Amino acid sequence: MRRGVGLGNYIAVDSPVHALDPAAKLGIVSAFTVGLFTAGTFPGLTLLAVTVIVGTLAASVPISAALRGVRTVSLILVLTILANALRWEPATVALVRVGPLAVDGEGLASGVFFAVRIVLLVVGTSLLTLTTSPVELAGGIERVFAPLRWLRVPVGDLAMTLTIALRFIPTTVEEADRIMTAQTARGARFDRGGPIARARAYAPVLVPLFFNLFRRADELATAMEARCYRGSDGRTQLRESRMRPADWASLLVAGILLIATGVAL
Amino acid sequence: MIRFESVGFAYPGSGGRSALTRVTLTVEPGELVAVAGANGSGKSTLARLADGLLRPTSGSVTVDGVDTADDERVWDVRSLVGMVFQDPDDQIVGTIVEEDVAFGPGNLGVAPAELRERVDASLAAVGLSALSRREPHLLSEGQKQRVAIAGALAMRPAYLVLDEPTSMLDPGGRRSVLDLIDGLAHREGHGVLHVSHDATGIARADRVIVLESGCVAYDGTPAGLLSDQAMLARAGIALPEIGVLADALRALGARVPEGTMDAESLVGALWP
Ligand SMILES: Nc1ncnc2c1ncn2[C@@H]1O[C@H](COP(=O)(O)OP(=O)(O)OP(=O)(O)O)[C@@H](O)[C@H]1O
Ligand SMILES: [Mg+2]
Repeated sequence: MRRGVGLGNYIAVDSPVHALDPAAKLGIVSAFTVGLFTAGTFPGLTLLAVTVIVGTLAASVPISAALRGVRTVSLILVLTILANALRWEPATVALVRVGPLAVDGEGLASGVFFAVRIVLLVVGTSLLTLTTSPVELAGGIERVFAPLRWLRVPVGDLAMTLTIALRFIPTTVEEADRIMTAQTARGARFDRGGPIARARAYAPVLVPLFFNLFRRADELATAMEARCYRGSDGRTQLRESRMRPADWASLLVAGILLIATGVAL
Repeated sequence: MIRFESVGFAYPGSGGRSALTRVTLTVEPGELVAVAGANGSGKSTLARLADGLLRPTSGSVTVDGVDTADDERVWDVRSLVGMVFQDPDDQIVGTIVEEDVAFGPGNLGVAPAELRERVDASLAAVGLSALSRREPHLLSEGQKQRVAIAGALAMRPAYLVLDEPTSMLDPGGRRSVLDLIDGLAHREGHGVLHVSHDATGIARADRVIVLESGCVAYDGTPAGLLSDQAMLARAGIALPEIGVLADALRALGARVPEGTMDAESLVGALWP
């Protein structure tokens, strides 16, 4: 069987975190992010770290999946710690000296602080996409931004656009793959030469790819019209999400946490 | 009833060259009408006219008496006529099968409880209940085509227009989609307009219309068309091997009815 490209990193299991309303989850992640940047001390950070750990366990997603994002930022983490910890002499409280370089105790502490903050940010936000399917997420975004309708922002249409964009990512990747295979069969090389030569090799891929995408967009618009799409007003959906007590409660806890870290710690 | 009255159509910017000329036809509820013809003969144009996606340049198209050119009522026409296009990738909107099937009825404002019921019934009708939570792009072409058909069925249309829905399928997949189409017309009572290039699809229709350069070149029974070698050649329809064999046997004096297309009916005719 042909294996297609999966969408995002969503893991479909049943858990209390999966069951939360996507709009509530967006609120919680926003509160968490604000809390993360207002927290100025290690106790504050510890409180947020505990939240992330509890969230990850409750979501019953594999720890490795939750930590996957950390690997991509590992270089940034190392640089953050080094940039804060290393000093040319004279350092105030030098822990170690290597020639003219000194490791500054205070600097090391703040470097670790920033690194932990980045790790928490990555893991916390990936919990959102791990437990919410792209469509649910688009629906959640639509409801969070619903008040903008009063400013005549077409929130529903934007959410539909987002959903379709998500729907077409795998199709586009497969198509690019197919075109590249076809060009390779005609002798094109994508792995030779400097950056400019390589970029140039992609031109014969991008042109047909965009041509196909525009054709598809046109066909899709016709099909949507045939299926009576007339904008998002009055549209109903299979899963009507609504904030339930559990959603409000989690949001409230997240809010209190934010105030606690921001004001007290 | 879908009724084409002397319909002419020219695409804008085609320099007045018409894609359809004086086409008259009807599709009744419970009737399966096949449309055949060579590439570029106007089949897809005809399908789009039936749904009000295109409007006739001359003549008129009405669905249950509603004119597709009536701006006020074009959405009535589109909810009466379900459309399935050739390439399922171009018409699937949802990222999950059941969400896609719910797209059409959702646009009609169907309440969530009934929406759920319609989605389940439509997926059951095309035999995809087990795959309702899958991502469409991970399905086979035949399964995607069924998702597209379920999406049209969920709108509970009186009529279905299918533009070469079997062109991407292997013989097995084609056969089961043809069974499905047959049932939709003859058991469920939908009026079905089935654009089809291949003889097995045509053989199961009640009536066949062959288009040639936008004009109706044949309007009659499938058996009549399938035994008319000259017309088959003009329409670019290749007989399946069983059909060729049946013709050869008839020429040798065997009592094989005209338009025999599949092994079972051939065996049945030879050894009743
Ligand atoms: N969007 C368009 N603009 C201009 N001309 C078009 C357009 N679409 C189709 N045509 C022309 O109209 C004629 C009929 O096209 P149509 O797509 O209806 O043919 P068809 O019978 O469906 O062909 P096929 O078997 O290839 O699907 C062709 O000559 C085609 O070139
Ligand atoms: Mg066509």
